Amino acid sequence: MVAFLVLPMLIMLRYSFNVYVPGGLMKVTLSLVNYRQFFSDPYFQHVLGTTVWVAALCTIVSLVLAFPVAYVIARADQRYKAALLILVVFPLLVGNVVRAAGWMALFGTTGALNAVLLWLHLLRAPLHVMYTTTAVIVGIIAVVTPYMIIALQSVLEGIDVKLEEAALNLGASGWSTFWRVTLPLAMPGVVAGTSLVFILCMNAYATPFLLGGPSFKMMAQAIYDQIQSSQNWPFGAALAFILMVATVILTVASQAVLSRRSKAAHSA
Amino acid sequence: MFDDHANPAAREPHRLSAFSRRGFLGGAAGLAASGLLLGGSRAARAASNQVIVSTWGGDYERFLHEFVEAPLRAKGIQVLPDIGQPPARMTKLLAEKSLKTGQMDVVHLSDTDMFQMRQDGVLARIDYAQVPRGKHIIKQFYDDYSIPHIYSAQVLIYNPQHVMPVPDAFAAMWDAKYKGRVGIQRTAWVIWLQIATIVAGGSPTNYEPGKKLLMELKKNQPRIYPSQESLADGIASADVWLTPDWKARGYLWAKRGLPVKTAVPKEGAIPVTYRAAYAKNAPDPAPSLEYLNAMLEPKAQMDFGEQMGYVPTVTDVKLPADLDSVIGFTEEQRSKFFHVDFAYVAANNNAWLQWWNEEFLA
Repeated sequence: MVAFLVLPMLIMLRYSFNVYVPGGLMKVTLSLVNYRQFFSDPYFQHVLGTTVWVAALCTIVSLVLAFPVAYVIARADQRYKAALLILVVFPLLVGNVVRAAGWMALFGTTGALNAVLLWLHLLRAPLHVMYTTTAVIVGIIAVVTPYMIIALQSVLEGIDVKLEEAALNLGASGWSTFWRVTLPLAMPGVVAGTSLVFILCMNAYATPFLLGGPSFKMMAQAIYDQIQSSQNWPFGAALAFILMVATVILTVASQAVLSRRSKAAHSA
Repeated sequence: MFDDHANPAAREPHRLSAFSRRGFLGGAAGLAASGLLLGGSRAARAASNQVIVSTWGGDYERFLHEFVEAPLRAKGIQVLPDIGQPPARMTKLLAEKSLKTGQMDVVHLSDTDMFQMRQDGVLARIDYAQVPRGKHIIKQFYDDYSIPHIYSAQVLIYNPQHVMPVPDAFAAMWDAKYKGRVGIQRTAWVIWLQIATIVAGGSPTNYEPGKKLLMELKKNQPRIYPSQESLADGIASADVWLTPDWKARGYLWAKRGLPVKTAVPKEGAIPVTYRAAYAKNAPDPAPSLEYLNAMLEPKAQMDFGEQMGYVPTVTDVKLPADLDSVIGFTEEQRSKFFHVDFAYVAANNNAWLQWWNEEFLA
C-alpha cells in the first residue's frame, strides 16, 4: 500500500508545488502558484462546485433507486437471490466507455428514445438530451446504482424480518416501519453505500466527457486536460489533490452526520 | 469501525503488531520480487529482437501491422503494439524520462506533439546511416529526431446536399446561412485557433486575431462534439453540414458512405505530418531504427496512401493520378500551406486550452 498508493501520491503532492514551464514540463521549486491559481479562478471553482453537486445528486438518487431493489433481493428466496445479484452486477461487466456509447445511441437526436417518442406522436421535434447535464446525471446513476444495491443488500439481509413483522403487528404502518425500524438498522449499509458511490461520482470521467455538453466539466476532466492535454503536471497535480481533499472532507462529514443519526435512532 | 467490541485489533492489541511485522516482511518480499521481475524483463527486452510500438489503434495500427511490420516479422523482429491516445503516450514518455530503460521503443505522434517531446528531451537522435530510406524523405518534412510517415492537411469537409455553392474558404464556416450546422471537435482547439487566425489575417506567431474571430463563430451556434467519432455521427445524421478536418479523414468518411466531399481552402490548408521516433531510453536502438526504415519503404507508403488517404512523405513514391486527385495537394496548394510554428504552439498550448475551456466552450 505504501509503495503503490502513498508513495505515488506523495510524488504528485510534491509536483503540485512545482511551476509549469511551457515546452519544458516543470521547474522544480516550492511554490503555491498552482493552488493560488485554483482559488483565484472562478472557472475552476465552478468545476469543483459542479462536481460536488452532481456527485451529491447522483448519490441521493441512486440511494433512493437502490434501496427498494436491495430490499427485494435481501428478502428474496434463496433460490432466486444469486440470480438477482448477478442481474445487478451484470452491468458492471460493461466498461463505462461502452456504456456511455450506448447512452449516446439512446439519447441522440436520431436515437432510440426520440424515435419511439416521435413514433408515438408524443413529440413534434426530437428532444435535445445528448450533451446535457441531464444525460451525464442519468449516465452516472446507471453506473453507480449497482454498487449501492450491493452495499445495502448485504446489510439489509442481516436485519431480522421479525423486527419488521413485530412493528407491523403492533400497528405501525408500512412507511412507519420502514422509517423507524428498517432504515435505522440499515444505516451502516447506507453509510458504506453512499460513501462508496459519492467517491465514484466525484471521480467520474468517461461518462461526463462523452455525455456532457461542451461547457460541462467535472474535476476529473479538468485534471486530464492539464496533465494529458497540455502537460501541465504541477497544476494537474494540484487539482488532483484539491479533488481528493474535497472528497475526503465531504465523505467523512456525511459519514459523521449519518452515523450520529444512526446512533440516535438505536438509542431511541 | 463503529463498535470497538467487534474490532479484533482492539481486543487483542499484540496481534496487531504481529500482523504488522508479518505484513511488512510480506510486502517487502513482494516488492523485491517485482523488482527482480522488472529488472529481468528489461534485460530480456534488451537481449531480444523486440520493439514496442506506441501508436493509435484502429485502422492506423491495423495498417502498420499489415504494411510495415510484415517484413520485420519475416526478419525475426517481434513487434508489440502499445495502443493509446497521444496524450497518454506523451505522459508515459515524460513519466519514464528518468528511467534507465523505458517501456516503449517507437512512438507515433503528430508533428506538433513530436516537437514538444523533442523539446522535453525524451527522443533519441536518429542515426540516418541506420535508416537508408531516410535519404528519400521530402526535404520540408526532414527532422533529426523523427521520421515523417504520412501527411495531409486541414481542409473543408462539407455535405454537398446542403452546402452550396462548393465552399472555397475557411471563412464559409462563419456564414450565417450555416448557423447550427458547423461541427467542432472539442479537443481541436489548436486547429480552430489556426483556422480562425488564417481567416482573421493573423500570423504563425500571433493567434490573437484568431481568438477574437472564434468568439464571433459562437454566434453561429456551432455543434460541439467530444470526439472524432461523434462528429462523424453528426455528419451522418446531417446535423453537421460543414467542418474542418484532414483531407484524408474526408476520404475515409466518404469511403464509409458519409455524405461528404472535401475542398481545399483558398486561404491555405493547415498541414500535418504524422511522425515516428524512438525513445532515448529504449533498450536497443537497432530494432527501432529498422522499424522506422520499414515505415519509409515504397510499398508501405503506397499502401497507407491507398487505404488511409494520407500522402506519402518520400520522394520516390508517386500516387496514381485518380487517388492523388482525391487525397493529394497540388504544388500551388502546398505552397500556400499555413506554416505552423511548433515552438509558438508549444509555448502557448496551455494558455490556449484554458481560454478554450473558460471562454469559448463556456
